Amino acid sequence: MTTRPRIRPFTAPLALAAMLGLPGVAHAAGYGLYEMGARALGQAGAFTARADDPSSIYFNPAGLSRLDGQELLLSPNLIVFKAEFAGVSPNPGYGVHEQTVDKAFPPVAAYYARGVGRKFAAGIGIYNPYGLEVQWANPDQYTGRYISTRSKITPFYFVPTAAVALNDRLRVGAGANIVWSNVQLERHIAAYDPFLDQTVDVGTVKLDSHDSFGVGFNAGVQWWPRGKVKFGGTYRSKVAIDYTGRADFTQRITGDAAFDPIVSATFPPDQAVTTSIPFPAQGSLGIAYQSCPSWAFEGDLNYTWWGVFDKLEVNFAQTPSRNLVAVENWKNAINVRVGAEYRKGGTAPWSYRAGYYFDETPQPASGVGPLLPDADRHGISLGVGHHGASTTIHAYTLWLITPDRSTEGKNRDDYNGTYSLGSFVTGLSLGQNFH
Amino acid sequence: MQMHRTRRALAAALLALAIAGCAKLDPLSPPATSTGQADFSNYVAMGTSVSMGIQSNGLLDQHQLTSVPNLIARQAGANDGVFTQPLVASPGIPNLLVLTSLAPLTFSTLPGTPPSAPHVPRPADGYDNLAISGAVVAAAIAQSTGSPYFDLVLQGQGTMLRQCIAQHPTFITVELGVNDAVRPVLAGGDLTTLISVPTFATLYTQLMDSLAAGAPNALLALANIPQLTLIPYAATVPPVVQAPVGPGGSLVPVRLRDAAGPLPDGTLILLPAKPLIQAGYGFPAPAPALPDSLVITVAERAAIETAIGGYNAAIAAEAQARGAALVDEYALYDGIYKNGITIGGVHYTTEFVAGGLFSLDGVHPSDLGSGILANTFLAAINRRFGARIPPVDLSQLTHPPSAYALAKAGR
Repeated sequence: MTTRPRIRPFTAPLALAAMLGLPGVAHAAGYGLYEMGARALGQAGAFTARADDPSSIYFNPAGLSRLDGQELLLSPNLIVFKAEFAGVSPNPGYGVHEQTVDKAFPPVAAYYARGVGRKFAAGIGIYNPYGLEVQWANPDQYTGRYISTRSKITPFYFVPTAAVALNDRLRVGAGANIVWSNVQLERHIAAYDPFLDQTVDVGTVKLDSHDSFGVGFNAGVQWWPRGKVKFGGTYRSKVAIDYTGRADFTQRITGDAAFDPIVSATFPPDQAVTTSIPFPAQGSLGIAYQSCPSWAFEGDLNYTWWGVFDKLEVNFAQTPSRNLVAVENWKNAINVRVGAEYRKGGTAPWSYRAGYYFDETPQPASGVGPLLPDADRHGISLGVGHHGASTTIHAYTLWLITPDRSTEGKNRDDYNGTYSLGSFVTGLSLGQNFH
Repeated sequence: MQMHRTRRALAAALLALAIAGCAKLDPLSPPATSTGQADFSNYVAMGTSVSMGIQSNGLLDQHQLTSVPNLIARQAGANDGVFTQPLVASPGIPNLLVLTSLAPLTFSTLPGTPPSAPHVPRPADGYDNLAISGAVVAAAIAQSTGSPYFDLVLQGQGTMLRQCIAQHPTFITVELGVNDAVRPVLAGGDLTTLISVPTFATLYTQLMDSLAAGAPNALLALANIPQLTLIPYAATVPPVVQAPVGPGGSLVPVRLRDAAGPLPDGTLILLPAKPLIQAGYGFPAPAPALPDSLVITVAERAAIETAIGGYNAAIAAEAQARGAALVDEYALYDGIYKNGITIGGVHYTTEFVAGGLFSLDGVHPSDLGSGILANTFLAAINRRFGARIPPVDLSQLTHPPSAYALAKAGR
């Protein structure tokens, strides 16, 4: 009798995901990311109607059917992010200035696909369409430390996909979204010290989830009728992740000899914790216009069902009195993307791209806070590509202009002021076709 | 030609983006204070112990500095920055309560001999903060002596009303009526101390008429009365307690009683009953019953709450008639009693001692409670008079090192 090796189907993608690096902070609105391919991003992501390379797995799976042969596409990105905050009264007061730790993230999207005669194709993609890290500097003095000092959400999407041309004009594709994710949340704990009549910092709680699992799907269609106009539509389903993990409570001695023992007596033990975060459904409709072989223009309308993020609940197994319910009440949000691509004659080795998008924040003023300060974004992109016989290389840069966001005095934790978000994004796509 | 134009456009776009990418946020300064139609050049406060700055059963300068009128004056830049109060040095009058232990809950008092007089002398025309602990509306109108606090503030120079008018005020805050309603609460529901709503309304109107006649140019902010049956002093001790009187000394619920019998739900037992209950009072006979002076029955409570509703209707009517800002303390405390209040992610409640919003006597607001109340005044004043007076920075009241802590240290 032979021992059959135990099949561990999830090991490989997890290892690959770990290799590919971590996602950065959200660069689409909310905690969404869109940095899944340099060719698309050079056009501000307006690619739904024309997606035709392996990054179609993300941008529109129908487009994958246009491949011929095997193709590998690696899209490393560099995202630089910083947030600043200026406070107002009554809390934390005028003159307060806070900032996040400067972050540079290298998220990578990776695709492998194989097409047959530009009729049928299948492939897999690994990427992070969501993700977030906000870490505030000087956490021991940070005035928002009782709300959040660090939040990080890391999902990996593993997306096997297939696509088929139904006829010359109409193509469809679909994929499964197999998602691993973990979340980390950190903050300080306050207590009112009646001996001093002051609020004191009595410790920290760090929540670290295990890798948790969820599934969803995506699907797309491309319709290229004769003529110069192309249409595309795509949909990605919601994936709700229920996380389990550990909460690590650490007491901090205040030095008040009367009060510290009282804190010790009621301080929560390290314990199991659960929480839940949704990655909302997204839809996109694109229309492209190919005015001549050299020029293509596209406009996309994206819609994200952010309304599913109504609250963030953290439940502690042993001390439910410490449970947290943060009311988020996000609303569904649109983003509009327009882009242009120039490639002389449609066959020249070099191509050039530019684009603009407007991304509406889904976050109401009441939720703009240390956990995640979000704002409307204007993105302006430039890109360039080189098309070789079997290799392609694309590069893009994206400047994000985010108008300062005020909490309008409505912050749910009474931590009010104005946030300024700055970011810079750049990336490459390296493609290799194995004919 | 075509390419040249493209390049220029690209260069311009790059430059614009580089500039936008360097945006930096500077700390915010308070917007310029504007008092709108209100004139704070001569601000006088009339009120009760809450406006006076009483905390933890005594009057002490460090808490007088966070009195509601002093915070309002500071925010509004009133009286050219000099708002006089009868500041009292440590250990206070009388010696302030000090928490010595949470479990068991024990208090002592600040050591020392109370001063005989404030260390800020009375200006010739009277203190700007004329609030007096214990002042009912009738006393504000007519009483000039007769208790240590009246003498401390008024110093024999006439009533609170008269000294207010004598200063030719441009703005007056009136925080009166609380004592009319709290008297029967502190007296264990003795309704003989509760004046009728028509009597209260008449007195309040009389006060307003006097101000209108004596200080015709003054604008007013009138505070109404919070629900006083829910202050920690009255709402902390439940009618059913856990006592070790079960088999083998196990804890079982025991419904306390007064002379009339077991206390139904909704009965209020005052804080001073706590040591008596620990000594066995209120348990089934032959244990002694809880004294009536420490128990507010359901009927007494209803009468007090009804009266507060009536008093507040009278205050609202006067605010409407006089064009005054109405400071809705009732609504503020209604929310706080139910939900507490979150400031910077920290939750504060009205729980006795531990909640952070009341001082150690369970009756008077803490520094933070006072700051929240001052912001409610300022919001009402801003709304009514088109003013833009910035709110009190509450973080200075919750976290050291603070401007107030420094002010206290340097007093």
